[in-house]
Amino acid sequence: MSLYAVEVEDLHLRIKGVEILRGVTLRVRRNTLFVLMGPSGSGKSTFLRTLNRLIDFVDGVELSGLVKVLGQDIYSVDPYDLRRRVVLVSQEPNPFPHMTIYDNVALPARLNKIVRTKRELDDLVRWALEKVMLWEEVKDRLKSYPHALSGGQRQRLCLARALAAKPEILLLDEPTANIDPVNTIKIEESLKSLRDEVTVIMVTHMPHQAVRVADHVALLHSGVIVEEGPAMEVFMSPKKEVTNEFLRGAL
Amino acid sequence: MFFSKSDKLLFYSTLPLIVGVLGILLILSYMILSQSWPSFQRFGFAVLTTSAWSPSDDPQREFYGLAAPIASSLYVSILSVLVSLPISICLTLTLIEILPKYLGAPLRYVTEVMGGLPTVIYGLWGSTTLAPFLRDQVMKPLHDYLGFIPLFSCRPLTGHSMLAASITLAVATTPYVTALLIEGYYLIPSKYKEGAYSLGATDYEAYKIMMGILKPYVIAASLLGFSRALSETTIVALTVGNSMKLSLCLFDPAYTIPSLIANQFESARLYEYALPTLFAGALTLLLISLAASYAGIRLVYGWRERIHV
Amino acid sequence: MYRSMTSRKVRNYIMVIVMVAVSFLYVTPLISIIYTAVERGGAVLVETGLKFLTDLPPTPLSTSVGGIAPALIGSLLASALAILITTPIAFLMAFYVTEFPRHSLSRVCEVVVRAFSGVPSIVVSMFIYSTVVMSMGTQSLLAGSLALAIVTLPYTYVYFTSAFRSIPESLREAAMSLGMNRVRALIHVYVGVLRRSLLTGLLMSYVRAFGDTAPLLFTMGFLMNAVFAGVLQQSNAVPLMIFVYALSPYENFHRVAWGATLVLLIIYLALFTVSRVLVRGVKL
Repeated sequence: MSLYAVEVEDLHLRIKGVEILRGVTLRVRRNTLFVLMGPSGSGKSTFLRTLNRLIDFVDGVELSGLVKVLGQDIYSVDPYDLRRRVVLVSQEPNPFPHMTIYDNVALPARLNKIVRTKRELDDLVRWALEKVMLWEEVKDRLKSYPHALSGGQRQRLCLARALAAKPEILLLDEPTANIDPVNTIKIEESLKSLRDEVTVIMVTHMPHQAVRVADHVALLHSGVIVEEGPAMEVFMSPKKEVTNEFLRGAL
Repeated sequence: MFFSKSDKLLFYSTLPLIVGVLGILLILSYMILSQSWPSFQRFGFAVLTTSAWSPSDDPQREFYGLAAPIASSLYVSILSVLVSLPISICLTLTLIEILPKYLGAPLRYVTEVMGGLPTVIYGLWGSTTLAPFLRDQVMKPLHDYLGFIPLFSCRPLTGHSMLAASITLAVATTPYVTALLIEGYYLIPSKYKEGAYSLGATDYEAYKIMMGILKPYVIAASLLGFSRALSETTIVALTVGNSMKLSLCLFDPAYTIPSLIANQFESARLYEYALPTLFAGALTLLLISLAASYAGIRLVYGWRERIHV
Repeated sequence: MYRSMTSRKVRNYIMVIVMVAVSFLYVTPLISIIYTAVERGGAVLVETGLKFLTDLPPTPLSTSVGGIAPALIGSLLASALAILITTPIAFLMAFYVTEFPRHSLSRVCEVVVRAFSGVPSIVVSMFIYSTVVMSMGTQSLLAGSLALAIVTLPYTYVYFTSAFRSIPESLREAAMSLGMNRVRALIHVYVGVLRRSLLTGLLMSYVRAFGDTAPLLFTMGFLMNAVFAGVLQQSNAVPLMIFVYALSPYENFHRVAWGATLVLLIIYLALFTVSRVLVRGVKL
């Protein structure tokens, strides 16, 4: 088993001729909370969607370089199997509107046959909802529909749904971008508690968030990794001027 | 494009369906062509250029020509588009731009109801209510005062006529044309409307500019409406008067190809060349209708690609 | 300068009023249709009561109006059979085309279905006559259903494709992010999210088939002496009966036609309204 959850070497990516990533090289160790920072438009989301091949659904993508996830070249495995192990939570909360809160969380477990009995499923749903600190808020209305929840609660529901899929890597695309501070803190707390169970790769444009949660950070700017290292080192003594500017909020 | 085994599976499960549906279309075209062949062999292209319907027990004395129904088909359909197009343009602008929502929504609902209404109901209404009304209120006065114009030169009898058929058809096809125009109107980027208003245009002038942008779509909608009117059987058979006659006069009864087929199919089976001639009519109809829809759809797609630049 | 602006404004008001007037004038035929159907068909229904729906049709010179039972049964069954044939085909094709919009087969699909909608329905009727009816030796409910199926296919397909296209990108991403493949996403997410619009499409296709006349002209037969004779035997249909009776010279038949028209109108308006209520419930 590889030491790294993700290994990327010289990744170039163009969409309809526009170069988005210009030679990204990056490694992410297993069971860390890795935060990829960068100003908007730096290519963070695209990079994240490359890791579980959601990028396949975008038209006109040209890609070169090596991307290994969980030790395998992502273009040598079935993308649907890959996405079962590498689950992404989008920026906008997107719970399935036609399913109850319970069914939303239970769906991936049901599909992937993670559990055998109803009892195990109940436990898994509860575990996932507790992980995101949503259990107390919804335990009495598991049979109601997600539109009854606030935006922040819905985002935590999506996080719980992702956790219930028992992924090996969790990808988070600015999960708190459109969410109030209270819900943001709850999400950050649950991420910290996941540290030992799953590799988390989160993308954010807010340096403060990275400071609060990250073990390891990297800065993506104009399609290349500018700086990378343990969170403390990078924040305390950035080596590059660009990093400094970003951390000061000047980018 | 296909990322995995399950995608390929989906592809292969759809393939026989598509091939099957395509096959039906090809067999259909082939059947119509082969069934009409005897008629073309016997009469040549005269079957399309002469006008006659004289069946006979002796195949040697049978004689048919479809010029009159073909001409009347085109005449009636074009007329119906000329009536429905201005109404559709008014409806489009009224529904989208002019009326507030609480008035627009019910009006839209009513036009949608009219769009799906079974054609036989339009036919029966056109035949028993509209045609007599048109005869007394429109055709007779026009004939009396403007009878010297060829269009109005004939004396209206029952009211069942090309005019009655065109107007009933126009009423029935307007919702379809309107739906197409509305769809196109929503595709126009809002910058053009802003542009028109910021030049100081009044509402009406802005609508005219918008319709100018929409022009290829309007033409396409007319072509598609024409194709639909041309193919329509029920309404026309009940209102056009069904007579083998070649006339320019709007008040004359006539046959269109579909109404000729609907009326003569049963008895045509008894004669050697009558049925093939009806199939020759069907083939002509099919070709014109497909050509018009194809041209319309090409225009729509072409316009959609150009408008978003 | 001043005056020209005034005249532009006056023209603007006049044209706007004209357009609104034309639009409202356009719906008067519907009022006239409903009024006539209720007046003339209502009289027939009042006279015969519910027996109009359960009795056999009259003979040309009989004094009673009889009923439209064979036509009603025939219409209900033939339209059901038609959408039973078209729905799976249209559903799969629509799903395929929206999932792989750029694949060349999808383009073929689009063109073929478009071509189908350009085929006049009377030509479809002749086609089914010269294939199915000729080889079976008789007109039948099955032949009628097949003709209706060909005519309905493009409508059902268009309803389904626009339903699939309305799936928000975010839900598609959610499904894919959880490792579902396209078929699983279809079963667990899309069908659930779209259930109302898919149902509406189904209902509208049924309504379409129910009201169509021309495809049935040479395929369905004209059953009058029994309510139902079997799927492989002659049958009848409400629109077909209206059409044939309207063209006939007998006053009695005209009355039946109007009674049947009122019935058809009521069924149509009811199904149409139900489908609209369904659409209004769509929440994404």
